[in-house]
Amino acid sequence: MIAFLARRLIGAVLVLIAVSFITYLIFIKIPGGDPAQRIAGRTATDANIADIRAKLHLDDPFYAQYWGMMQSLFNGSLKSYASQLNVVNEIKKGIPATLSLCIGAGIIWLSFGILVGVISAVTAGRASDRLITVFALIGISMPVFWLGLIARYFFAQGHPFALLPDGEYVPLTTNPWQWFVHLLMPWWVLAVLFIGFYGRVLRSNILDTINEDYVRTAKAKGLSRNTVLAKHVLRNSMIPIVTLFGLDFAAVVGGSAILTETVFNLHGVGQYAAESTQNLDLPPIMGVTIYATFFIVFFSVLVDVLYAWLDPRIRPT
Amino acid sequence: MLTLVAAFALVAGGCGGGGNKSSSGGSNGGKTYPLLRVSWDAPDYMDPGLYYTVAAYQATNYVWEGLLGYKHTSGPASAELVPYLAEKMPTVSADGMNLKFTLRKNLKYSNGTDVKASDFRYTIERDFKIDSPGVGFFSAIKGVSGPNGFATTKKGHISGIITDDAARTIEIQLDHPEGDILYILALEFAHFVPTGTPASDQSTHPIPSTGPYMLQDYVPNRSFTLVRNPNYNNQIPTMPSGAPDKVVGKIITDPVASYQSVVSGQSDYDYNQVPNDRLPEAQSKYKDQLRIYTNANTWYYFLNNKIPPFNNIKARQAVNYAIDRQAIVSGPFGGLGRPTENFLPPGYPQYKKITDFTFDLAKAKQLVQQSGTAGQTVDVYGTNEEPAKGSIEYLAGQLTKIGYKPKLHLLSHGVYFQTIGNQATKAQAGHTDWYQDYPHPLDWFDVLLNGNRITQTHNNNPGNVDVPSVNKEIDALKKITELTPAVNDRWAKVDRDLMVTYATTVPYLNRSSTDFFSTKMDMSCYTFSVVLYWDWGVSCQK
Amino acid sequence: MATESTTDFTLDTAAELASEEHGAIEGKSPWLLAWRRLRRNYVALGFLLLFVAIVVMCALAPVYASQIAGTGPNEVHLGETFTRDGEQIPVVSKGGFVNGKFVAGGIPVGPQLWHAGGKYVFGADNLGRDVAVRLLYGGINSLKIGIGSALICTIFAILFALLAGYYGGSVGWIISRFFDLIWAFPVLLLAIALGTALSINGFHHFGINIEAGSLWIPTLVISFVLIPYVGRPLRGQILSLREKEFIEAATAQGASPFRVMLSELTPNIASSVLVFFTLIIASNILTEAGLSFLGAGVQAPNASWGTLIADGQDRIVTAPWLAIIPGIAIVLTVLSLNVFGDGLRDALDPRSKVRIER
Repeated sequence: MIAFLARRLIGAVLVLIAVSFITYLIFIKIPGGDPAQRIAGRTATDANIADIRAKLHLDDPFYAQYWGMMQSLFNGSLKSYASQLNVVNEIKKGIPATLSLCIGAGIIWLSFGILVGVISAVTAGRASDRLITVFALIGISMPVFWLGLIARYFFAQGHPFALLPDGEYVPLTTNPWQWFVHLLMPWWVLAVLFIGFYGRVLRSNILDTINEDYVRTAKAKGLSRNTVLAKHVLRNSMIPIVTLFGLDFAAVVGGSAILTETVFNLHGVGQYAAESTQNLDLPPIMGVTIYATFFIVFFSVLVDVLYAWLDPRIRPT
Repeated sequence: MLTLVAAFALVAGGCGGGGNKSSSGGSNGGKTYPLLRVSWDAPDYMDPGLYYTVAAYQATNYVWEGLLGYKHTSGPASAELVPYLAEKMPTVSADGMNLKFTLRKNLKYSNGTDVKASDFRYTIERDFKIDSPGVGFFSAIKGVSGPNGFATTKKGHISGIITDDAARTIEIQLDHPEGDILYILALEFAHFVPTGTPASDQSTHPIPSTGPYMLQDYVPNRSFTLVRNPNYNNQIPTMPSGAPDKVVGKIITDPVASYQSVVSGQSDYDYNQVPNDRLPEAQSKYKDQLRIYTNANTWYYFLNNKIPPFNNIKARQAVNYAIDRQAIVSGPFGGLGRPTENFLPPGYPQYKKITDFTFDLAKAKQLVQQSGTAGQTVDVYGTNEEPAKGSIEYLAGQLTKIGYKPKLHLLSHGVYFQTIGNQATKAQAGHTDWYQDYPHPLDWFDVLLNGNRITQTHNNNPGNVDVPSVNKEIDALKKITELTPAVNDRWAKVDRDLMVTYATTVPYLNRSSTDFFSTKMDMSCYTFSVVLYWDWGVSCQK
Repeated sequence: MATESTTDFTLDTAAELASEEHGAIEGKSPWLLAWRRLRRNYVALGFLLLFVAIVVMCALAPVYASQIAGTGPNEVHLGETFTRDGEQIPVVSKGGFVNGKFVAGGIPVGPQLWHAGGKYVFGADNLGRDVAVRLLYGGINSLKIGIGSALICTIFAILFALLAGYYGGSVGWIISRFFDLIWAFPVLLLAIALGTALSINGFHHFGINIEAGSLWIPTLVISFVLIPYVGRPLRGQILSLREKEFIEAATAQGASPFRVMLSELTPNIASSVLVFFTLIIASNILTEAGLSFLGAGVQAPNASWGTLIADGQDRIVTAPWLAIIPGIAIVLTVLSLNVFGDGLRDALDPRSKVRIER
């Protein structure tokens, strides 16, 4: 187990390095913009620009610049090219909003996904199953940012309701009720996408599991239908769900929430990432990419370990 | 003696300016109130040596001060310079190359230290050390330019600035006369900082100030707080001492959110422009709290005069006839603008309205045919932010209609100006705009349309406008310090020559903007300065 | 049912019995069985028809533009008027300073449906362009990118999966690490990064020249970032297939690796591929919409459903149809693909575990 863990962790670090280097190359080698000219401004003199280039080591070879950037990122001094803001600080400021969004949405989509999956599996073939399938499919067919815009229009801008706040994020520590109310729409919009998907995966897992031999044995032994369902079927169908959730949650925290955050102006890490990318602002892009990749890789290792621990049939090779 | 009266025609949705005007310009009768909450855009810096955005400038014009400043009043008189830290307007030598200032007595910074004459030299030298965007303005001071000048070496001192702390005098020597030198000395880059202020961005370690307020704290992208300067003691009698005891600014970059913050009563003032989408609602529901103003700016399309097709004058004239300026105002700008065919903004004494190019698509097509450039591809550049985006898409659409094949390139704002400022890009047409640094035609023609100042990179004249006779005239007018009616006429002719006779550029509107207030603010005190915009120091609450 | 017999029940006797009663037992290929199941799934077929209808409508965009709307997708009509029920209406409302008073303007005209003779059926956008025309032309782009990227992604995924699954060893290891690397990247972030970066100057390396505004950029970007999502499950399938006897048999017969991959392995993953392909198109249309919404996909003045929603965002209060209508188009298209893909999966293997991991 230790060897397995060690190997995975080393692999994770290598992946982080590779990802950061590739991101750096994408933005250094491809598009435009001399950061020095950008910082110096429209009316800058040649001397200004040359000076700023020197201060930012922009004339060093690219691998030296990469290394320098990584160093300033990890000691917290990295500054954006577009706005003089400290990258690590901005990411830290965005984390509460992103985590609030993702954890809340995650709880909703997991619980409702399980509910939906169980109901449609248990009533397989009947009207309720078909209806749920329809809604689930519609849910996964909607662009999340469009759904967000529509939600804001109908529920927050007075056409016809103006019940909920129209975007923005209020920290939990400032005002818990406002924090909750501001996140209601973003939570549901983000969750709708996954509820349908998880419901269907669980449904198909349950239907497969129900036909397995050990379930028939349990029924034959005389256990009640509900007990069979809860103790054997559900637990075994859940394993793939758990791993799926782990990966999806990591992806969402790491950036899939970009669209939801942008549409609702939550100023989380995802929105910061989107804005920095649109601005071709390399330092924040590097910062956010490391942050996001770290989450994905970390959760991926966690999920592997969890999976191995949960299912004794699987042993890490 | 310099005289400059900008006959600025102010039009707003109802209000033309503040109520009674007292001698120091404050129009609220000196009443104070405890707290002003504002929703503000993100400033670039809160360091007077570095900031160059209106967001920083409008927030801090009561914080750091310089030798000269603007009169705090509304209407055209607000473009007038008055002495701030200086005792009186300077003594200027006959050849315009030597200025002498005397500082007022007993000036102090907000931390209690005395203001010294030598602080001025330190301030300017610091600007060079921190690569301030404003260093270009000081290039005429002796000892700055040249291979051994301070701009290059950053060592020693600027020889053209001679100060005497005991006598409180400051002498500035120029290499050549500069018509706009007094305006330059009123810029933020010349606002005094104490000698010894570190030569790096001090935005988050507020620099001690000389004005009625001091910056208590600044959290980038989050908030800023201004409180009264405890050591001010009305040391600058030519400026108001300020109505709010405290100003708390919340930085909200999203204009919809900042608009909502005022509607919901969380904030008293929205610095950002009310979005086009909410304007009809603001106009009908909140009419009394809305003020619309047009400040000194011009939005124009540049046409590259050096490469085909727009090196051909008929092609350039065609573009001038092909755009419906009023339609651009209505559409991407939501009505917030005034169509124009001049380069200078209205309100300048040098402005003489041009009406030569009425919208005529047929004529435009004809001109394109006559020029022989029909069918050519045109690389059109713009930014991907509204309203510039809509404006440039409109231009591309019209170019198609008159017979060109436009190729649109929309870039992010952060890299836009350096891209069009690079000759290698070969941009044939595109968006650009200019907001005045100070109310003088040199800030326009010399910076943006002087052919002698075209550069390979970070070129501020992306159209490569280069008319030798006009270049000569600009350089000649540059040396003249007094703006007599005759001189103003010459500037007006420069405007006409460049826009009509040679049709080098296509200006299309002066953009208007909005001030939006909560019901707490008493609108009878609303004062709009053509240089400082909404003068919050003389506001009042109900 | 045959009468009970004390004789052994062999396959031969079963065949005899069957031929007595129903005729000879015919073997039916799995594809035929799948087709029969699909044929009975009216819902899936209905949605397939919807998808085809959408594709056809978009393909007819030029016809709609010239015959019905009378304007192209990028033609601006700012400052112009059109006729509705005899009245001249400005396409975009006039604004500005009239006699010193300010009037808010710039509101485009709403859906006219059939009142304006085919013009502005779904209204106009903020530059006076015809929304219905842009919707159809945008649909062309969204579909091109969605289907194109699905095709490229699937082909490369199959290739990689075959190589990794069949050869294993170092080849397999390299390909797996390659998948891991792309997988580790936050997908959307990578796509946005690539899309934005390439939208400035295009891609001019390694002898390939793609212009900045080309549709190839979002297509290739999306295919690239999604390769592991199709590649990994396929590789898993191939790994398990490789151990089966028929592969051993083919190899023992002297078949070259290429032949084994082509004739033996590929047909066996064909049904998975088919289902993946359909569902990936749906997913890619959504991804393209998201990218274009953030400005990293289709570039102006070209339209796609995503850019149309982005354009409509700023006018959601005064002109909500601009954002609502393109979204409905996306939902209908993606839904029809998802329903059909579901039906396809059920038909090909009613108990299949094929699913796309996120």
